[in-house]
Amino acid sequence: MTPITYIIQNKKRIPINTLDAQASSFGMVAPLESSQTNIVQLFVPDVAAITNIRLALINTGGIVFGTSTFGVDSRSFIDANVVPESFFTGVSNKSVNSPHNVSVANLNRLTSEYMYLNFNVPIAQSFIAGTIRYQWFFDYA
Amino acid sequence: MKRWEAIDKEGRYINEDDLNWELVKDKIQSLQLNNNGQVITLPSNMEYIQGKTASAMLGSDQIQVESRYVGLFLGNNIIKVRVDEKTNNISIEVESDTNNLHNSK
Repeated sequence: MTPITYIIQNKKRIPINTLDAQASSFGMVAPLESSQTNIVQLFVPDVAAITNIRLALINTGGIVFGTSTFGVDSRSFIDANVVPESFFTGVSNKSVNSPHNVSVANLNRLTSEYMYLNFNVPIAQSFIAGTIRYQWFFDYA
Repeated sequence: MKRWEAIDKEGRYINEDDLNWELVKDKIQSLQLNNNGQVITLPSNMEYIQGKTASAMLGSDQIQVESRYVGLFLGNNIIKVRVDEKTNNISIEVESDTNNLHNSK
């Protein structure tokens, strides 16, 4: 059983681990600006179903949480114009029970809804976009 | 060895290594979780559920099992006995069957 995270580009689902790190990161972002929005989706083949899907922000790439916001939103459709209106409440301790994990609905039996992710950069804050990290949690049978 | 083990309604022993849960979940009369020899046995002749909670880094194709559970439906609730994969701590959870898993079995 191999979980796959798709990143949505031009309405196509591309396994994120086939992309190079630069392409799968948020790119260059200037202070006080928002990053591009990445759309991702979890797909877990070879299981009966996945349930209780959650997404955690586990590494802010050097940004002190609280000086920036990390957007997270879900939709059942793909729309490149959507900008997240909800935000992570904190950095998860990589625990499935972290209160900062965000619940994610299923799109169907084996996939999550589309997750829209972005972040804002505070002024005078250096960061490494490629090291911003997220973690999925899910139940399967 | 960590796996679910069951006795089907014809008295045969089956386990996770032999059969897909989806094929047998409606045909078993007892269910237990074997956690390296520590066996948790649920009451017989119930309707059962089992599963694992896993994590994966976004972008990784590797999963890590965080915990596994066996459980049963009781009224409108699901009772789960969960074993943490790292610590072997056991917890009991009571959840409302909000997704109506019972009737979708």
